[in-house]
Amino acid sequence: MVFSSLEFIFRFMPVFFIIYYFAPAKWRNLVLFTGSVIFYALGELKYTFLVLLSIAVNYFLALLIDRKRLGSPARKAFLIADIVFNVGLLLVFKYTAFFISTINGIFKTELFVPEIALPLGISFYTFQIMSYVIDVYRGNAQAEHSILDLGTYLLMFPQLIAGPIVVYDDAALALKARRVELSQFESGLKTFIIGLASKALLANNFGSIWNSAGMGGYDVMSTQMAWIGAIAYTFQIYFDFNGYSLMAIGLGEMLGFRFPKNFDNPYISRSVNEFWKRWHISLTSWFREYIYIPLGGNRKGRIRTYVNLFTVWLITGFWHGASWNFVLWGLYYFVLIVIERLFLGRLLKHSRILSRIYTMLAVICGWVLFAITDIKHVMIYLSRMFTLNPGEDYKENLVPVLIFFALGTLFSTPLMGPLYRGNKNRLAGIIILFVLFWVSVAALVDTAYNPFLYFRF
Amino acid sequence: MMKKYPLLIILIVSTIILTIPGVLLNLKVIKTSESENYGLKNTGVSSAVHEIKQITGRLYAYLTRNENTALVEGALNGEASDPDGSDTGKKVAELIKKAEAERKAGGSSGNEAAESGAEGEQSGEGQAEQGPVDYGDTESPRWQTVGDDYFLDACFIGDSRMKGFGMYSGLTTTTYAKVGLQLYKIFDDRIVDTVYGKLTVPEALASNIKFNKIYLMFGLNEMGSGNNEQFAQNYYQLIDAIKALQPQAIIYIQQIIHVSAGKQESQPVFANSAIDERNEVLRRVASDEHVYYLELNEVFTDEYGNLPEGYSFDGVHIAASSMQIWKDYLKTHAIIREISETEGPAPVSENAGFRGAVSQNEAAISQNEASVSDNAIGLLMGMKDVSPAGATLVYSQHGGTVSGSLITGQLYEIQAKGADGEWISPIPVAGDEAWTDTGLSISNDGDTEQTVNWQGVYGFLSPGHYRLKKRVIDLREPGDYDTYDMVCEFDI
Repeated sequence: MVFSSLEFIFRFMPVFFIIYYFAPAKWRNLVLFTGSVIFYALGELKYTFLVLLSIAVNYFLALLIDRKRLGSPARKAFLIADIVFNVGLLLVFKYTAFFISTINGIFKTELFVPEIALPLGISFYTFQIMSYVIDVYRGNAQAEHSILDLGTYLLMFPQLIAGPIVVYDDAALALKARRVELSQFESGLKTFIIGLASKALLANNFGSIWNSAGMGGYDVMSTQMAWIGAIAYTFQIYFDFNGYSLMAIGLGEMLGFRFPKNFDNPYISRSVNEFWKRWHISLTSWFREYIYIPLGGNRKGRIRTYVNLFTVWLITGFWHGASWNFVLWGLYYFVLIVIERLFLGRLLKHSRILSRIYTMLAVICGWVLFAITDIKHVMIYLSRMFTLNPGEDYKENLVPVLIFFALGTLFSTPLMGPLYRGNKNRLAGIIILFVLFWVSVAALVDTAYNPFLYFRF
Repeated sequence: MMKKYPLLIILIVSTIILTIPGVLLNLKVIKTSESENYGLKNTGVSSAVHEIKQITGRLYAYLTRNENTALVEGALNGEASDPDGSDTGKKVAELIKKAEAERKAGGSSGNEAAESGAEGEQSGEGQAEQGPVDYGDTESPRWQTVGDDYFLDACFIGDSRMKGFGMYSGLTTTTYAKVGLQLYKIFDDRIVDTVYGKLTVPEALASNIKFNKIYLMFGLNEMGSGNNEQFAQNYYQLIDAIKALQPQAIIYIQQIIHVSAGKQESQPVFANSAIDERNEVLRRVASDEHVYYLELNEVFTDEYGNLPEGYSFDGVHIAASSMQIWKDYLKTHAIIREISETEGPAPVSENAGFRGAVSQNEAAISQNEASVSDNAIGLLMGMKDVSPAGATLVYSQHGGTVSGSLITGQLYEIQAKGADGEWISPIPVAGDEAWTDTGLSISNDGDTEQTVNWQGVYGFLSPGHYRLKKRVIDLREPGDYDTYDMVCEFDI
């Protein structure tokens, strides 16, 4: 079940929230846990057991870790067991087919490639639970004694499927004692509506533009069309993912939790370095906190810093998908970050405009690599962008496309943030939100096209 | 409470207000034309919102009616609705009633319709017009192989795949297609761009342009919605309207092409088995309507029943580089009518373009009165064999006072009549008027013809009202000449 679906908005939400708000405080986590299990099962019944198993294993291992002294080898052993379990789960379900077909490709073998369906949200919830266990190991958090509370933390439907990845610390207090009030509900609802509109009115339309661009094949696109497609995808993935994150944050607030924001106007960045501080913040924080820093970060000398960076970006690429184009995408950013570290970063500081043009070009090309799985096709697409190919294909619908691009640009700048915050409680703001809600619903009715890009992660 | 949670309150209230009629729609207590699609699997709100969208859509269509809308409605309702007040509307209605009756009776190949309809043509000009198609045996057709020219007077109607074909097949033809176009919206969606504004496909077919072949492709966007019977009904309605509006056109129904294995896996609603099932419905429709059925999947199926890899980038749309396969299939499965041998653009009639017929020559001449009164030499310019791609200009000089020799060049300009009655130039003609191109001598006493093919300059003209401007000089000596601007109005 997707947040931006009518079943979720008009069936699940009313029923769940009525029960949640009328339940006595001590039963709220049970209601939330049960509701989240149902939510997951409605999306994918057959792998529900897997996520419940994950809760149980991690619960026990965390308790065991907590019992052992800090620094003892047993403590470390339990941690390693836990990591092996979680990462193993991820590797088996997400990457088996990828590994086997890669081996087939390199060694020309004909091993059987199993078709394993990817369990919903596995990339997110394994990372989320590992952050908990690692924090317990480090002594930064106390092991959770209530399996229900731990299960609620992991399974909470707002961030279960596609993040933000919430570290246990951020949720621990709220898990135990949170205020659940209608004023929070109203506030969360506003954030939810912004996210919904972002998905239904912006992302879906950019998605159509991207799809239409490539319809006849990348080898016949004019240069203009290639750029239009790439820019459309750039907007689509942002409004899609940011929209979903905003809906998650809004729902979290309606439940009484405060999730950190996941995006901070990434497209105004002046460098790739800055871009990754503004894009999918919860993921990059996770990588920094649980991989980069444990490896030594930048404190073990220059060479080691680059090795650490390489490792982080390699895994980042892998995490995004079981396909080589994602890995290359991660390494692409590694290269750019190294270049910026070496000398480019300093240069970029001197210009407000050129630095942004450079960053957007880098990001747009990066998204082309991300969007297209077949590397051959990626090369064709990029070549269509950077050579002069005349054609009339882009002229049709050009005006609506440009209008959407203008809107996309407007909503990617920090201009709208303060405007929204200042007015969301005023009458005009309320009316606009009301209208946005119903226009989004109208757009979703009959829509065959409503994919969520990060869904299969 | 309203002060503290205003948004929540108005959302709850508005949701309840929509849910009530929505649930009634789902329970079929309220019945509308969309009732087939409603059911308890939908939320009440979604049905209510869907219905509101239908109503506003119809309202918009009503507010943007044009003169062709009436013709289409006439064809559908069996009423006489010809704005010229002639018998055309009645004859159109007769045709469609006959076609429908035959289909219901499981009648013969439509020969009766062919006979009775032979005189009842759109323009009622009494010319040797091409009558309604005699389809012969549509179950086992005598396919012929044709060249690219066959499609010059064809029209391809359909969804995004049809559009892709129009864009990348390399054929010079007419395409009325749009991404996401669904069959049940064909009478509402304004997708054809003309100088009058946007027309629906049936409205465009109701104009003076004549196609001799019409290819249809629908079905992909209907997968997973509605049911087979509804799909068939919508197709019948469209074909009946086409037969009434373009009785001379050979109609081909194209199969829904398969999708790739990857696509049907990621979106099971497009499973090729379901597509095959819908295609059998199409076979029945073609049989009932006695039109041709093109089994494109003969070339678009691999050993697993899917669209072969490499034919598409997204598993659905045929890649430009694979269009040849589709084009070749159409070129080897064509029907050539026995009535007329022409494969090129069919002439509408002898003096087409003028609103009126050859028998109404007075009208033709009165159109040219303007140019006659404008020039002192008595030169007339008319047009014949008008098609979207070109025409033949007929210069008529009888008597008059020509002082030198009449010459005209290759340059001309076409203007379109805009919605507010003003003449606009679709494309500015570049260049000067220096006589650097080939000159054509116009006879001082007789008729001279000059063929123009404006396809390369203006493309295929879409339905509308136009005029062609041509400069003719009366040359006595180099440097000593009079200039006359000739104008001829015509319709596509």
